Formats: sequence, structure tokens, C-alpha cells
Amino acid sequence: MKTVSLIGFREVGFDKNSPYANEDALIRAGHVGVMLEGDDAIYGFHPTPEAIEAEGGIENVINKLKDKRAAYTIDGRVYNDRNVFVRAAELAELNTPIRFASNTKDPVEFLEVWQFDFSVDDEEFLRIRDQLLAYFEKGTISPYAFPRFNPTGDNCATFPMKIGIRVPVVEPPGQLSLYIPELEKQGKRWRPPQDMN
Amino acid sequence: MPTRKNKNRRFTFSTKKSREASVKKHDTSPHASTNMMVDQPTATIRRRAASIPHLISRRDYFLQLEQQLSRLAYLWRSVDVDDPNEALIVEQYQRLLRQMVAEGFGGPLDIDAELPDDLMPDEYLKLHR
Repeated sequence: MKTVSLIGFREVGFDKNSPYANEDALIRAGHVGVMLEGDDAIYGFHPTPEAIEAEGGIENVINKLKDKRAAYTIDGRVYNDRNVFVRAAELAELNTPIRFASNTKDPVEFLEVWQFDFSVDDEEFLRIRDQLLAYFEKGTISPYAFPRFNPTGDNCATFPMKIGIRVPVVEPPGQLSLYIPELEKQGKRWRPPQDMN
Repeated sequence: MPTRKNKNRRFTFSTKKSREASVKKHDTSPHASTNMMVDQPTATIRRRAASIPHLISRRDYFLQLEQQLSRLAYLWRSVDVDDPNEALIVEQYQRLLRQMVAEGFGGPLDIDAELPDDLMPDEYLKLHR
């Protein structure tokens, strides 16, 4: 048996006045990645930097992704996002607030990175690994879109299903405010091993 | 920098009323007659307390409402532009988010739980744009 892990965290947000406004867009947006036993990488699916630049920046991309009237998808691919998750874990250690009270501005929730492990037999592990690495190593471009009933693309949370990874069941699938709390409920806190920082 | 109060990230907000209630609960003076539990043995108190369902934390309360908004945003993206239910979804979304802000939710929402800015209530946009 081998272990496949899903790692995820919720967003710190895109407020222009936020002290985290200069963080990586994935930190600001929240993210989900896949980790395979015996591999340091954390594979995540997200829009390519080239596509984001062509749209004039991440804010423009997000505005279009939110709006079904634009019928919009953007090029996405699988990257090794380990550094993003390590940074998120650092921010979690620094007590980074991610939700606030509207009146007092007191923090209601803090950033945390969650890990959900599940075991698969060797055959399934190889199948998942081969598919994931094929996307990663070939740089395969796939459409990225926010979840909807008839999806036109995947987001970081639905992509693992595309390669046969059994993700925690939430309805509707892929919405981060349902998905990450499920990782929290079924999983454990994630921190990078000290010798791998 | 705000600090985290415990490792479980379950936060409840302390109000004047709750602080007074907390003081009263621990007041074992003869004048503390309003607290029915103070004269009972600790074990009994603990047993009774354990039988009372835990109050939902502020974080969990708003998370459940956030998840409801998230479902509505998903639904809005899923229906056709000319679907007769679209306006109803937007109306429900806006009403719920306004209620949340009025109750103290300052966000931000996850980006996939938001509608386009022209459909978001001003009360929320003022906090985040």
C-alpha cells in the first residue's frame, strides 16, 4: 500500500490594502495540491503565468472566472507548488488571520494548511503517479475554470478527480469553502519536514 | 498582530454580556444566588455541562453560512443566463450576505464563493474593494 495526500488551505484574500497583497496569487486565492509517497513535490493545477499575463493580471482573470456570462476558461497546467505550500505553512505559524469581523476587524479564522492522506494499492498508486507525472512532465495544458454543474474546466480541487484520485466528497465539488474544511475534518495539520525546508 | 487563542481555531467572541455571565458563573459568594449550579458538587456540574450540546463557535457559524453562499455561487454559475431561477439565486445570495455582514461577518469570501462585483452587495464590496 502507498499513500497519496491532498494538501490545501483557504485564501488570505485579494484586498488591496491587505498586508498579504504581495504574496503569491495562490496564497491569496487558496490552493489544493497532491503529494505522492516518496516524492517531495506537491503537484498543483492552476492557470499558467503566461495566460495570466496575457489577461492583464490575476485580478482580471479572477473577475472573468467568477462571471459565467463571460463563458471563460484559462489555460492551466500542473506545477510543483511545494514552495507555495511551505509559504502557507510559514504564514500559518505566524498566526495569519484570513477572516475578520465586519465591525471590530477582529480575526475570526486563521490560515492553516491541512493534509488528508489515503492509502491505495500499489497498482492504483502507479496509475495515479503515471497520470500525474504525465501532466506535469509534458506540461499538458488543460482548461481551468471555477466549478459548475457542467464544468468547462477544472480548478485545483477538482483536478485530482480527473486523474482518478478519490477526493473527500463535498457537494458541490471543488468549492474551496466546502473542500478545505473537509480536509480539516478528515485530515491533519500539514507542516514541511524540517530537513526539507 | 492579532494572536491565536488556541490550536483548534475555534473562536468565540467575548461580549460584555458573556463576560458578565462568565463572572457570575464563577462567583461562589452567598450573593450569587442567580447561578443555580454553584452549590452542586463539581462532578454533577461537569456531568450536566457535558450533556449540553456545545454552542457553535462564531467561526463555524459563519463558515456554514459561507458554505451556503458557496453553493449559491456554484448554482448561479451552473444555470443558463436566461434561466428564470437566476434572479432568485442572486436575490437569496445578496440577502444572505447582507445578513452575514450585519451580524459581523467581515470576510473575505473564497473567490469561488463570490459572484461578479456587479452582483455583490455594496455592504460587502465596501469591506473588500
